[in-house]
Amino acid sequence: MHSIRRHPLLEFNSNGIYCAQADVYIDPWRKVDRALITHAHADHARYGMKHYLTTSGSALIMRERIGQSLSIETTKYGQKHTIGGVTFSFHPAGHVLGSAMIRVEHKGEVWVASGDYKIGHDSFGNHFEPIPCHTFITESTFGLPVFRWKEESEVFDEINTWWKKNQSMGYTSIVYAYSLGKAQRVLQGIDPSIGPVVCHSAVQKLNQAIYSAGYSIHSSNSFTEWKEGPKDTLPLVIAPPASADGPWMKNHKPYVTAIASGWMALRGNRRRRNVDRGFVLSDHADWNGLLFAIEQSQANQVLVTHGYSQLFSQYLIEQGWYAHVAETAFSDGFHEVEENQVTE
Amino acid sequence: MKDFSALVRKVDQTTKTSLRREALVQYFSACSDSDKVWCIALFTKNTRKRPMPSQRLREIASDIVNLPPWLIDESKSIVGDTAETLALLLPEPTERSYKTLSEWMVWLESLKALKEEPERQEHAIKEAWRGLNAEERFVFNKLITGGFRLGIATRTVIKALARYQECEESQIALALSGQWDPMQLTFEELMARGQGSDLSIPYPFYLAYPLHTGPKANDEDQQKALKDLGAIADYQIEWKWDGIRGQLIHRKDKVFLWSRGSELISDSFPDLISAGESFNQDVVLDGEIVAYMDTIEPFEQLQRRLGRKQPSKNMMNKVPVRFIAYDILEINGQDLRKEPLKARRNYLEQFINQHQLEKVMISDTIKVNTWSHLVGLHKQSRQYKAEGFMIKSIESTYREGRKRGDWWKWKVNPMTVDAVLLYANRGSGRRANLYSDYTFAVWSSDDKKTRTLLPFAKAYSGLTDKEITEVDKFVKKNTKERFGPVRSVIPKLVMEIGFEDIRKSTRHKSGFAVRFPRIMRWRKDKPLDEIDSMNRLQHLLDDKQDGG
Repeated sequence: MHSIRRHPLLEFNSNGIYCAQADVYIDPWRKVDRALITHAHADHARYGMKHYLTTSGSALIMRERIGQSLSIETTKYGQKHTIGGVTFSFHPAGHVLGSAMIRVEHKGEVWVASGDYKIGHDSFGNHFEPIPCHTFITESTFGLPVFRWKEESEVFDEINTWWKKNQSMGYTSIVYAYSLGKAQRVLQGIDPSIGPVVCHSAVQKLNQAIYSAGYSIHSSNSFTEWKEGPKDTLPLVIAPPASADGPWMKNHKPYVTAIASGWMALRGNRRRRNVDRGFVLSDHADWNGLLFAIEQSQANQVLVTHGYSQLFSQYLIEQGWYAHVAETAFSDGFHEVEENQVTE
Repeated sequence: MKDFSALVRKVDQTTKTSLRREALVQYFSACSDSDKVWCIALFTKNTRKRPMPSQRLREIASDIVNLPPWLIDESKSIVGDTAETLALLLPEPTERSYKTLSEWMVWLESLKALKEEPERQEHAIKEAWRGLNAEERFVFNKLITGGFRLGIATRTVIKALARYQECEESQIALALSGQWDPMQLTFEELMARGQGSDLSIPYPFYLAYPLHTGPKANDEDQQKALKDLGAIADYQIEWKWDGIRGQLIHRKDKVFLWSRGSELISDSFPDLISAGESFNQDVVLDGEIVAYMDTIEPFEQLQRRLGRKQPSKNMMNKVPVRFIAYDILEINGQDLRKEPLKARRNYLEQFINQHQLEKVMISDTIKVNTWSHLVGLHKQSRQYKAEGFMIKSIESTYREGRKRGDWWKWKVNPMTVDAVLLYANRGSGRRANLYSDYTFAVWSSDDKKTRTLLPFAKAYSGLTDKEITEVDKFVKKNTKERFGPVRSVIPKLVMEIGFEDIRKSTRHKSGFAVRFPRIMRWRKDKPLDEIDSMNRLQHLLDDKQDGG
C-alpha cells in the first residue's frame, strides 16, 4: 500500500524545518521531540528538545554550552539514518567544528538543508562537500555581490603584520571573534611564533573542550595563566565581541582592537563598532561561494533563508533558477537586525 | 595615488587621533608640494563640486561587473556609499596607473569638461578603474562622487601641518581659513596666507560651548551651571541673535564679508559691504548678520538673502540686513585676539561710536546683578527675538574653534511636540544599513473619530547608537510598505521632537515648517493615542507671535 505524501519532503512551519514523513525537525526554534542539528551555534542548536541527532563535533560543543545531560545521538559524516522511511545523512558544511549539511532522501527525492556553510578548507580543518540534490535550502547571510572574501592566508598575513606592528609600538592586540568557530580559526591561523595568545574565558573553555576531545588546536593561555606567567612579548588576545568594553580589558592597557568578521568588509559596520581594524574573515560563504554551492547542488529548486534572502532569490530567479524565499524565524527583516550578533 | 590611498587607509585603520596625525605628518614629509595642497583641500574643504552624479557612476560599473543595475542600487543602499560599493564590486585591475593625487585632480577637471560627451566620460572612467587596485579605486570613486569625508577633523590636519612646518597651529589655521583654490595655489603660497599674504583672510571663529549638559537640562541644572561660573561681574552677557555669524573685514580699502563656514558672502550683502567701505580704519569685526526692519526679523527673512548673489534693490529694500558686532579682532593691522575681552570691548565701543553707522551696530551687553535675574530674563528670550544668551568671561582671549572654559552659550529650551514615527530611511556613513532617518507625524485634529496622522518633521539626531539599533530593529519588524529605501511602519514609537522655531508653510503637507527638528527623548511611556495634534503646532505658533 502506498501512502500519498501530501507534504513536501521538508517544510517551514512555526517550529522549524519539518519533515512530516519522519516527524523530525531540522534546527527547530521551538521545543520538539526530535531535532536534527546542522551545527552548534546558538541560533541553530537550541535548548529544550527531547532528543537530538547531530555530528560528534557538534555534540561536543552542545554539551559544553547547553548542558552535559542532553539526550544526543551522534553520527559520522556520511552515515545513514532511516527514520519513518526517510534516509538522513550529515555532510561537511565547512562552517565550524562539526557543522553539517543534512541530506534528506525519500523515494528517490533528495533535499539538502545546508544550515550555514563556507566553501573550501579553513585553517581549523573545516571543509565543504557539495551534495547533488533536487531541492537545496541555502542561507544568504552574505548574499550580496559586495561580499567577496580574500584568501584566508592573506587575512592571516594581515593579522600577523598588525600584531607585530602593535608589539613594536607597545600595544596589546585584541581581536574580537565569535567564541565558537572564528576564535579557534584565528588561533590556528596566526603565526604562534610572534608571541603568546591569550583567550577570554568563554573562548578558552571551548578550546579546552575541543582539545580534550582529541582535535588538534594550538595552545593558548587563559587570563589567569597570562597574569602569572612571564610577559616579555605583547600578546594577541582573542575575546568574544560581546565582551568588548568589559572590565577585563584594563589589564591589557594600552591596547588596540580589531574584529574578525565578514561584516568588516563594510566600512560603516567597522566604524559603528568603533574598533581600530576590521579583518574580513567569515565562516559563511561569500557571494561567489553561495553561487558555487548552488551550481554544485544541481538542484531544480532553491529555497533561500537567513540573510539577504529577498534580494538573493530575486537574483537567482533572473539567472534562471527556480528559487524562492523560505520564511523562517530568521527571515529577511529579523536576520538583518541580528546580523552583527549572528553566529559567524 | 598609491601613497594617498595608503594615507586614507592608515587614518581609516585607527580610532586614535594621534596615529592619524602621525600618518599625515609622514605623508606630508614624503609627497610633492602639489599633492600636499590637494590633500589639505580634500580633508578640510567641503565645497568641492562633484564631477559626476553617483547614479551615473553605478550605471557605468553595472556594465563592467555584469550585475543587474537594481542589485547594484540595492547593494549601495546597504553599504551606504556608492564609492565603497563600487570599489568592492569592480574586478581586479589589469594594468597599473602611476598618476599622483594632483594628476588625478587635473584629470577630474578634464572629466568635468567632457560633460556633453557621456561616452567619452564613460570610456575614461573605465580606463581609470582598470589601472587602480581596490584601495585606490575607493579613493578615486570618492573623488568623483564628492563628499570626501573620511573622519579626519580639520584640527587634526592643522596639527599635523604645524608639526611638519614646525610653526604655530594658529598660523596654519589662518593659512587654511577663508577661500583658496587648490588649482591656483602652490603649497608655499598657501602657507604664506598664514603670514598675511592675503588681505581677505578671516580669522578662525571662536565658538562658545553649550552651558548645560544636554537638551533635557531643567531650570535647576541651569541655575547650578550658572552658579558654577562664579561671580556674574566677571562676565560679559549678550543676547544670542538668530542670524548667521560673520566677519566683516576692512583692510587697505578692501572690504570682505565671511560666513562662519569660511565662505566669502560679500556678493550676497552689497549693503553691508558698502557700510564697511565707509570705515576710515582697517578693522576686523566678528558679529551676526541679521534681517532688520524696525527690530530683528526672524531667521526665515534672512534666508531670502542667503545664497542669492547680487540681490536686486527691491530685495535689499524688502529684506534689509544689519551687522551686529560682537567683537573686534584686528585694528589698524594689529591682531587683538590675545587681548582680554574687556579691552577688546573698549576698542569695539570706540570704533562703533566713532563711525555711527546705521547698518553696523554693537551687540548690547546685558547688565544684571545676579544670576537669578538672568534666569528670569532668559525666559523672555523669544520676545526679544533672541535665542538665549552668550556669556563670556571678560578676561577671555579670542581663541580658535569650539573650546570649553570661558565662552558659553545658553540657548532657550526648544519647542517640543510628542509625535509618532511614520517613515524610516536608511542612513549613510556610520549609520549605513541602519534605519536612522525618520519622519514623524502628529494627529490631524483632536477628534478621535476623524483624525488621521499627518507627517510634520524629519529628524535624524538625538538618539544614542543603542537606541538607533533598537529603532532599526523595530522598523524591520514593523514595516508596512517599502518605497525604495524608505519604509512606512506601524505607528507605535512615540518621540518628543524639539525644534527652534515654527512657521506657516505651504510647502509642507502639515502646513507648518519647523527649524532644526531633532529627537529630545524616546517617550516609551506615551501611547499613540496621547501624542500631540495639529492644534499643538498652532498653539506654539500663536504663542510665538503673541510674544512678539
